[in-house]
Amino acid sequence: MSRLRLLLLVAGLGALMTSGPVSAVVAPGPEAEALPAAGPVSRALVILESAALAARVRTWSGTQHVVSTRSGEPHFAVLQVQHTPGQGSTVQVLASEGSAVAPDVLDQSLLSLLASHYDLRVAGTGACAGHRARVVEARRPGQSGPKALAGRFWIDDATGLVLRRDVVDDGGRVVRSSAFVSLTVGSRDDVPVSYSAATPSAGVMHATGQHLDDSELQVLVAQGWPVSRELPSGMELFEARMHDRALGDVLQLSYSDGLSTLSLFVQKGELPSSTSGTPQSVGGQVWVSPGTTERVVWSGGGRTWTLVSDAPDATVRSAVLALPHGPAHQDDGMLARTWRGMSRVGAWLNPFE
Amino acid sequence: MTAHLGAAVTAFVDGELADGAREEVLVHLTHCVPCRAEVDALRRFKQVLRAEPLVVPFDLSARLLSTAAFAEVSAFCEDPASRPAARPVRWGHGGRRSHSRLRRTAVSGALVAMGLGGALSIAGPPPRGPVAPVDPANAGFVLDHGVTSHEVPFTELDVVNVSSSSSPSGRGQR
Repeated sequence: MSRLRLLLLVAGLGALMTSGPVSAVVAPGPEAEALPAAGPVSRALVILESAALAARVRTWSGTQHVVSTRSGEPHFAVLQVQHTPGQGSTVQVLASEGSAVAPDVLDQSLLSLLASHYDLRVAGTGACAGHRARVVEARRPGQSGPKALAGRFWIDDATGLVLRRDVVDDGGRVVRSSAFVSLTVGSRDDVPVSYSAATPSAGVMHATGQHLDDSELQVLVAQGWPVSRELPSGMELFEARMHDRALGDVLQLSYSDGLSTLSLFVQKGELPSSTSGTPQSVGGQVWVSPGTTERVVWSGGGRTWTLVSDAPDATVRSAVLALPHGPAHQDDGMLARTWRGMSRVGAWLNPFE
Repeated sequence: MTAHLGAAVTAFVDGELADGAREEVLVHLTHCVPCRAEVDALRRFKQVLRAEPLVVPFDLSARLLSTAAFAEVSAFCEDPASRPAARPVRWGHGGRRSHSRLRRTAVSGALVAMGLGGALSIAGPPPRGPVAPVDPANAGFVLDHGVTSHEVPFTELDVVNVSSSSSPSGRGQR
């Protein structure tokens, strides 16, 4: 494990060194398209859709490095990922620093958000883990220069799998990068392998809670649940679930711009006066647990909010600022205060209380 | 905490603060002399109220009963035979008696105002609402986010099978 940690450190230092403005490591090829993307169904989008499909229908395994920078602090992980069509992926953490890590698997359902928020284009060719790749860029509309770049995908020429993905903030810095350092891909005719024997201690994750459609969300809104369809930085609601926990209901609202995701967990009641995490002031008192997936917790409007996200710091911060903070009623009025004071004196006078 | 405690003093004296807030107040009291004095004063006041039974002075009762208003009320309640003792009074005509009545009214008003002001000053902060039932730190929210967004977190587990039920076609299933 110590060698892995050393490897991790080297990978992290490399990421730090490249965390400045992104230099072009892509050779423009004959496939490069002119900006902006030509039409809603661009060649770049077709390539990404094929990549999302390939990730699900091909049998593959590999070692992936994930590096994320939060508040200037890097968080690293090395993951062993194996995928079998129809059974899902098995992921083993070989080494990690920080509270949480995640492999990046292209989600087909988020590609429409990616296409609606960014201009996609094939930027050229490149290489990753010994595989030749086409490089697809997601660029911020209406911007030019290095700061226009928001994300970059390396798509394997041979198999169509995503070999590497970078997320770039509006300052031109890579804030999250995931890349396969080795990848083995089976043929399309491979018989799915059962991983249960190989990983007997593995836990199986299923989506929990009840999916909510639009009409059910409207009912919740009428009942007073706060549901925002959008958050700042172009984050759009793409999934809502209600978790029926033993102690109370928790509403999960998940947002994405196609590159990053963010989930809000809302429950009735206020946060206890202290909780885990580092206290910070972002629109009010919040508690932050950093990592490749960051968690921010606070009270606002009589509810407890938990934000979980892999998005850049600025996106997380703007989302937290846009949501309620503080008690439900800042001032409960003079009459109520007077009555409360008189009740308090009455309680003091009551010898039995 | 750099400012003074303010409304939190009464909540502290009454033991209504949560553990974390109470610790913050205690830390503040170690270096803030005015707040410490306020807490001491409020505690003494509370002890006095607890120790001394509430007795309305006889003199005050007698004076209240002697006011014109009480006299008018008693005119309807008492035995008509004793009525001469309570002569009706006309408002606005009374010379020294009118001044006395005004003075009593002013004093009563001032006492009421002081009572209301006192109640306002010791009202303390609004009571906290109920605490959220699920602890965000141990609720598995990071895992739920990972499954929904296809980004699997590994905070709690060393090895994770990502079920294909989290694929788009699986959404809507419990």
